[in-house]
Formats: sequence, structure tokens, C-alpha cells
Amino acid sequence: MCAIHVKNLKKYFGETRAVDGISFEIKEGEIFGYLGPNGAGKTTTIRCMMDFLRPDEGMIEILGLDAQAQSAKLKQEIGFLSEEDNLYQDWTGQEHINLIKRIRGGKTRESELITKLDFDPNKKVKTLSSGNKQKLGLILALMHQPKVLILDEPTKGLDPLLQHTVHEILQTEVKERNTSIFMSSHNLSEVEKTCDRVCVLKAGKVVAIESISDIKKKKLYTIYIYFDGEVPERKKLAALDVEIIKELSNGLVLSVRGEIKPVLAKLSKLNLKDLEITHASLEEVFMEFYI
Amino acid sequence: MLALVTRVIKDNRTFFIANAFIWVLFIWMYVAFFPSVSENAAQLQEAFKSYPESFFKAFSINMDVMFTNLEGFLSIEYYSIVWPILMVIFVLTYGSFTIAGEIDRGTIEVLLAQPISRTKIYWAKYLAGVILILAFVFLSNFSVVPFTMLYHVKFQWQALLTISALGFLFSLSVFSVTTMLSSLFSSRAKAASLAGGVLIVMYVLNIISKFKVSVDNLKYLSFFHYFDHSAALIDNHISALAVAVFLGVSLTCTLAGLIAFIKRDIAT
Repeated sequence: MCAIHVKNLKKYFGETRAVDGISFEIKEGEIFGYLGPNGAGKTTTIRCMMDFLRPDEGMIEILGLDAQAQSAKLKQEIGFLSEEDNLYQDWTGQEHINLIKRIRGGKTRESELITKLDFDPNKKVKTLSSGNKQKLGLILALMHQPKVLILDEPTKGLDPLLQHTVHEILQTEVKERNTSIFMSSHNLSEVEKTCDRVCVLKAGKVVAIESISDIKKKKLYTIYIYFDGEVPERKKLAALDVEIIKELSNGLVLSVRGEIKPVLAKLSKLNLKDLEITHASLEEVFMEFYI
Repeated sequence: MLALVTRVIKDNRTFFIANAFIWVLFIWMYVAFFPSVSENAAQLQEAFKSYPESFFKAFSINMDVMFTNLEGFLSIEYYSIVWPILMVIFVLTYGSFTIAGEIDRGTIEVLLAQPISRTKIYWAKYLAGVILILAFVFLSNFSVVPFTMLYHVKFQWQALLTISALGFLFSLSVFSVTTMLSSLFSSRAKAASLAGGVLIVMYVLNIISKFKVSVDNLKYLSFFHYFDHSAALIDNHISALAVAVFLGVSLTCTLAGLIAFIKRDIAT
């Protein structure tokens, strides 16, 4: 069964097509990254999933329930973290925790999360740093052991050490509870490390949905070639059918899209001294969608 | 839902105490004044005779009882302007926050992310408001009791119940209008200023209608016309029309606010 199913989701604000026919599925126990530049429609999608915004068209099902019609029932199983600092500034962390415990009832595990994230729940929110506010947001999202986590920029404002702790917590959720996680992020290395699959958005439309391993195999390579002697003339290199990014004193830096074998075969005919191939980072792949 | 109601009341406790303190001071001042006013009733009545008739009509002033009993004195000095203004300020401040304030600050997302329907969130906020209004109405009226004892002033206690009932209905109507506007807008300032504007227009309409016979019917558009404090305190009476208008407006605006909140998009 898929944990989240979004089909042909559309949300317009007047002339602005914030989300324009998005479809994707998230499996149980999967961490799904949602990538896109500002204004691509990430937060609008999340707000539709949480029933803050009502879609103009399309369908959202989470754990087999309609995200609009059965929103309140569904939220028993959802943990949500907002991108913004949307906490009550005059309350302490403990007051937030207490209210949510009273509304939700059932077993919670806030003490474990407080210890893991090294959070002081007795301070008023207005006195907390942005990182500590983010910690509180994460505790509130995770404390009731949800089956689905919807996280908008979960590590925003956290230092690298805490980012690592959050990644560990999310991976433990998946391993131990088979939690399905939908997370939007601008942090590409985080997505690369944490997610199983990623959806890339551009101007309200999905431009790619791929597994991280497939993206890594995306056939976008950077090749450093060094010649034994002078660098051949450009005319001779045209046959390689690759993009030359940079010229070095005794070599070239090439960018290769697609299958690398034919390029290597052609390169082998040149008088090469050395060759170095690197896979493009997720960031470089990501940029490919927007150039 | 109860968790939310108690939380809202807890959040407003400082605001409540501060307002209550101001109210009690006003009541104390008026009751403390009354014995000396009563002693000089004849001279004061004589001085007021030079005022135009329409002035007395506009502010529902009954000269026969204004300086001779506490009910009449409070009706003019306290319930004609001070009480409605203080109550309107309180209701606008709280009412505009119920939904629009939460959206303004983004905190509505904390509530909407929980397994609780929008209907329950709305009713929790509304119920908390009604409880706070009841507490204010009780305090703003019944705090007169210890001061009448302190200054040995006679007062008919039944009138307190009548003015409290009328005050509650008036406040409930203002609260319902404000809550409806709070559900329609995402800005607390917009909701509060629009509700405030509506009330100012109502107040002006009521005054104008009493000065000019040709526009007499305009008074029916004003809550202040139905808030007949003089009849409640002196005659111990509330008109059936006032009850019907206050309850009708409250019910209509409350339900309109609920529907607006359920149907609307919420983007913080």
C-alpha cells in the first residue's frame, strides 16, 4: 500500500499556478525528498496535504484516507513540521507539548526526543534560538509516533551536528516504525544522504521523480583529461560530442551527459596521459533541471 | 476541545485581570461619588435644565432619577458610554484574535496539524470567548455590590441581573460579528478595524436618529439602540425586540463565521 498518493493536484491563486497538475506516490517506509527552488510549489503542496489549503483539482490520499474529507481523523497518524516558526511565542516548549498531549491523548515519547535533541522545554519560545525552535517543532511532530511525517525543511537553522542527529532520528523512525516521510528541502546533501527517492519541482510542475541511486547514476559526469604533450585543437575534439567546461594548461575538463562508454572509446584514441571521472553531485544534477 | 478552551482562557488571564482592575476602579469611583451627587441633586437638576431636550434623548437620560438613585446615576455615567466602550474594546481585542490573529501569527498551523476538526477549533475559541464575556459581565456589574455596602448606598439587586443579561446579549452580538470578520480575514488588524468601524457607524446612527425625527428609523440598525440600559436598570425591563435582535445577530454571524472558517484556505 502506498502511504501518500497525490494525483493531478492543482492549486491556483488567481493567475498564479502555484501547483499545476502534480502527481506522485510514496511507499510505506520510504523517505521522499521534495526539491525545488523558492516558489516552485513545495509549501503549497504540503499545505494541501495538511488540508490548510483546499485544492482546485486533484486528489490527495494519505494512508488510504482522503486528506480533505477525513483530515481530522488522518492527522492522528501524521506528524507535521512547518517551514515557518509558527509556535506560540509566549508559551514554553512544555506548554506546547502539554496541549498536544491533551488533544491527541495516547502514548507519547517526548522525553526521549528532548534528551536526544538536548532541548530545554522550560524556556519560553520567544527566548529560543531558531535552532531550538526547530528542535521543538521536531519534538511536536514526532512525539506521538506518527505513521506519516510531513516535514517542511526539517533541518533549517540547525548546526551540522544536529542535522546529523535529525537524519539519524528520521532513519530510526523508518527502520523501527516503518514511518513514511515526506520532506521538502533546499539542502541537497541532506536529501542525498537521507532520501530514497526525490521529486523535483519547477514552476508548479513535476520535472522528475527518481530514486537517489538513479539520480547518482544520472549519467552526468565530469571528466578531467590530461594529454601527453599539447592539447589537441578544438576541431579534433568536436568529434567527442561533449561540452568542454574548462581548458587546463595540459588538459581539459569535460561534462558528459548520458552514456559514458562511447565517450571513453573516443577518448582512448587521443594521446592521453591521465584521466579522472567524477559523478556529478546532486546539486549539479539539480541545476541541470533549471538551466 | 476542552483542552483548547482552557488553554485559551489561560492565555487571556493577564488581559482579563488588567481589564477587570480598570472596571472595578470605575465602579468604585462612581459609587464613591454618588452620595455627594445625591446630596446636591436639586442644584444639579437645575443646572441640567438648560441642556436641549435632544441631548437627554440621545443619551437616554432620565432627569427624575439621574441624581436621586444609584441605578439612574450608573445608567448615565457608567452604562451609557464607559461600560459599552470597555466591553467593546475587550470583545474586539479577543474576538479579532480568535481566528485572524492565529493566522496572522502562524500559530493556527499548530492547531490545524492536530486531529481536531476546524469546527471544533472554532467552537473552542468561541466558547472560550463566551466564558470570558460572562466573567467580564458578571464582574463589571456585580462588583458594585461591595462598594454600595462600603458607602451605604441603596441599590435594587434585581436590576443587576437585568442589566447583566442585557449586557451579555449586547457583548455576545459584538463578539459574534467580530468572530465572523476574524474568520473571513487573515489579518487581525483588518478584522478588528472593520468590526470597530461597524460599531462606530452603529453608535453614530443611534445618536443621529435621536436628534432628527426624519431619520428616526436608523436607530433600528444600531446595537446601541437595543442596549437600553436605562430601562434595564430603572424599570428592570428588557424589550423582546432587543432579545430577538441580539440573539438573531449572534446566531447568524456565528454560523456565518463557522462556515467561512471551514471553507477557507489558510496560508500563514
